[in-house]
Amino acid sequence: MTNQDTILVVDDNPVQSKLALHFLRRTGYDVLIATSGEEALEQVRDIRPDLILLDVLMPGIDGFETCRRLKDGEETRDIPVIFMTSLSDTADKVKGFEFGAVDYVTKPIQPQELLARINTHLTIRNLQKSLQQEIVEREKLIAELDAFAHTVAHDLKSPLTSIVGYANVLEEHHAAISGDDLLRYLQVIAQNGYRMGNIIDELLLLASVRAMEDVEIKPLDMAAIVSEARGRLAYMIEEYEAEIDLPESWPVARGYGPWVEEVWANYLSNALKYGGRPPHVELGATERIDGGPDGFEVVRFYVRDNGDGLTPGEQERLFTPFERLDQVKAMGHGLGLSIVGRIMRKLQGQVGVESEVGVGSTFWFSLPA
Amino acid sequence: MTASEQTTGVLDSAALENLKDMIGGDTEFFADLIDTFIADAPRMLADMRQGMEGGDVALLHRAAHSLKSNSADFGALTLSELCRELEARGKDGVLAGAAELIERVEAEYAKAETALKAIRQDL
Repeated sequence: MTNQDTILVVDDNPVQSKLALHFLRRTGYDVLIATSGEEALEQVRDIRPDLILLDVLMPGIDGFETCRRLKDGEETRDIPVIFMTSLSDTADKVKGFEFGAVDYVTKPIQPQELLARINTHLTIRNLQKSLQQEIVEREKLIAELDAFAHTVAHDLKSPLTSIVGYANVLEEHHAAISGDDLLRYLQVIAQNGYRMGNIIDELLLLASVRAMEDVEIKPLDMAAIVSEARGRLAYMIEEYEAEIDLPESWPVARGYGPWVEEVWANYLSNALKYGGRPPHVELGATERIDGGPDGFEVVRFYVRDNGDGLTPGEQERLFTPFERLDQVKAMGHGLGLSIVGRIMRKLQGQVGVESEVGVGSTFWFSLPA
Repeated sequence: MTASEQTTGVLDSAALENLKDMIGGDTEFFADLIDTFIADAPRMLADMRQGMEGGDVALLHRAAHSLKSNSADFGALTLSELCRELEARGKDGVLAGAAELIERVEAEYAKAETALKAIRQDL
C-alpha cells in the first residue's frame, strides 16, 4: 500500500491533534486537521480524505453526529471512520459502530495498534474502490455487448434476407430465368455474402479490441499496412472501378499495426461505398503537428473521397460509442466507425471528419509520432 | 533534584515510553507537546470551575475529558483518574463533591506540571 493516503484527524484538543499529526506524518501519511465536527464536514467537501480519525467529545456537533452526517453524504459515506475514544468510555466504544464507523482506537493511542487498524481499513477501502470500479467497467462492457449484439443481428439480417430471397427465386424459377438475370442474381447474392463477411470481421475485430490489454506500440510501416488494407478491399475497388491516390512515402507514427490496418480498411471501404461514382479516393498524411492531448507531436492520416459530403448533423452521429449505437443509427457506416474511435482512443490517437456537402469528406485519424 | 526523581510517583514510566515511541525521538516536538499541554491546562481547569459554578455540566464534562486524555498521554495517571471521576460527574450532571475533586485535580496538576517541566529541561 502506498502511504500517500490522506487522513483527516478531527479533534478539538491541541495536544491530541498535534500528537496524531506528528505521528501519522512521520509514518508517511498526508494529514489534515479539523478542530470540530463542523470544520471536518466543511473540509471533506473540498478534499476527500481516505480515512477519518474522529474524536467523540467536541464542542458543537459531537463525533457521532459528525459521523452520521458523513454517512448521509453520497460523496463521503464510503470514507472509513475510526473513532478515538477513552479507554474508560465503554459505551462510546461500540456506539460509534451504530453511526457507521468501521473501528475505534482508545486513548492514549498505542502507535502500532493505530497503524495496524489504519492499514487494515485503508486496504479494505482500496479493495472496495477497485471492486466498484470493476463493476462500473463491466456494466459498461455488458451494455456495449448488448448494443453490439443488437446491431450485428440487425445488420446481418438484411443481407441474409436478400440472399435467401434471391436463392428462393433461383430455386423455383431457375429454368425460366435468362442468363443476364441469372448473373445479376448471383452477383447480388455474392455481394450480400461479402457484406455479411465484413460485419463478421467487424465482430471479430471488436472482440480483439475489447480483449486488448497490452498491445505492443511501435513505429509503423504505414506503406505495408495500407497495402494490406487495400488488398482486403480489392474486390470492392474493382467493382466500383475506383481510382486511388497514394503518397510516395509515409511519415512514421507509432501504434499497433493490425488495428491501424483495420482503421484504414474501414475508412477506405466507406470511401468506396459512399464516395463519388466512380470513387476517387486520396490517401495521405500530414507532417508532424502538435496536437496530442499531452502535448506530444502527432501525424494525421486521412482518406479523402469525392462523395456527397456530410452535413454537420450527420458528422456528429459518426463515431458513436457502442453503448449508444442502439439510439443512434449512424447512417450506413454502422459499427465500423465506432470501432475506429475505440481503437484510436486505445492508441492515444484521435479521429475526426471534415466534410462539405457537394464536395466530399475527409476522414482522418492521428497517431503519436 | 533530577528529572527522574521529580517524575517518580507522578508520571507513569510505561505511559511515557508509549508516548516517546509515538514521537519517535523528536525531542523538539516532545518539548513542543509539553508546552502545549502546560499552555492548555489552565484553560481546562478554569472551564471545570466555571462549569461547576455556573452549572454548565457540559462544559465541566468536556474540560475534564480533555485534561483526562492529555494527562493520560504523559502518564499523569492519578491526575487522569481524578479527571475521569470529574468527567463522570459532569456527564451525569451530579455536582456533589465536584468542588473538592477540582481542588484535588488542581493540586495533582501542579505536581504533573513540575514533573513535565523537569523532563523538558533535561531534553
